[in-house]
Amino acid sequence: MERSEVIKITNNFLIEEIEVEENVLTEEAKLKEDLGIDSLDFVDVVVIVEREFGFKIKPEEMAEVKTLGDFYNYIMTKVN
Amino acid sequence: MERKWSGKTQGGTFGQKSVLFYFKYGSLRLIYLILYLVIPFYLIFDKKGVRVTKWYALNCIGIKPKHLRKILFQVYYNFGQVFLDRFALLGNPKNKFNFSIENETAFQQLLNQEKGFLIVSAHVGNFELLSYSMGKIDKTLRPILFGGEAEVFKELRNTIFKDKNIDPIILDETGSYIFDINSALMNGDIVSMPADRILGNMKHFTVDFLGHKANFPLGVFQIAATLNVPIVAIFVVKESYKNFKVIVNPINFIEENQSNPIKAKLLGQQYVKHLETLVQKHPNQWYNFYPFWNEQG
Repeated sequence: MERSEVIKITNNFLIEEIEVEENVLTEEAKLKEDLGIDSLDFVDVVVIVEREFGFKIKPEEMAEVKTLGDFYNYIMTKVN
Repeated sequence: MERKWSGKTQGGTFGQKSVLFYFKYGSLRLIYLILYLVIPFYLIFDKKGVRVTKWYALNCIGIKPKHLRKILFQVYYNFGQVFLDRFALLGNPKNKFNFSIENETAFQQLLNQEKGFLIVSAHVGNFELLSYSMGKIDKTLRPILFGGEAEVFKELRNTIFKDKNIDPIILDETGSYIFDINSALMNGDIVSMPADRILGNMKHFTVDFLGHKANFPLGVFQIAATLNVPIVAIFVVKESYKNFKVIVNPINFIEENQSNPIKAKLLGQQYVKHLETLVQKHPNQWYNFYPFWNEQG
């Protein structure tokens, strides 16, 4: 899967399902502080990622994911 | 004034240990009497809590100013009893409480399903006794606890509930709760949490509640919508000395074709309606001692 496609799918669900504002979706944006993804939103993110990309996020793998760019990269490594 | 809840329950560790020690030998009625004598002093010193409770009584419940002192005393006395009842149970398992369940069939139907479900409650009555009131059930109950709760309480709760199917999920910085909540619901367990307080930067929705705008957390309803799991509002109110009523209010998915955020808000609005009905019936069991309504900020 191309990185651009991962970005498109991810941004789409963040806007539609988590109600993140489109204008804050940048590679450098921090998931909690900048995107406003709160503690319980992450439960939804895990479920949506599994539904959209077909893999289960593992807790230990998410430890290093801080920004949206990290999150795209993480998904890239899992789907390819 | 800070409108968010701090994530900590009232009462320090020393206070909690002292009360637990008392219950090894002391009676509940005696400590209720002591509580009765202490409440007037509490009303003098808890200026912030008294101020917001006065506002609630006057503006939300429609109490006349001449009856204000009475309702303030009742709210604080009842809240003290909630605290003591909880520790009477934790400190000495021989203390028994009686529970009658309203709308038990709806709850039983959820228990009989293979699917997991969510219970939302509130800081009204004694939601902490919810786990205890459920008795022995086949499903595992996973109450979500906030990391700010005193450690001693968590340890004792683990002890008292060790024979029941209860396994708390701690909402802390480690993030393990993300996976615990998800797997619990997928495994057919029950996940419960109060849905009337906003901790940190939790997402919320704003609705009319008892005639005034208030914010409620959205997250738990969003989980129900995204995972498509049933959700039910359950409240535990005190009726008399050791008698409690458990009130079960199913919350229905009414707009199947809507997006998940809209579904979540609709679920949340139903919860708020149930809570509103409950508080109108039991106005002196409302225990949110911080500026709950937007106008109080």
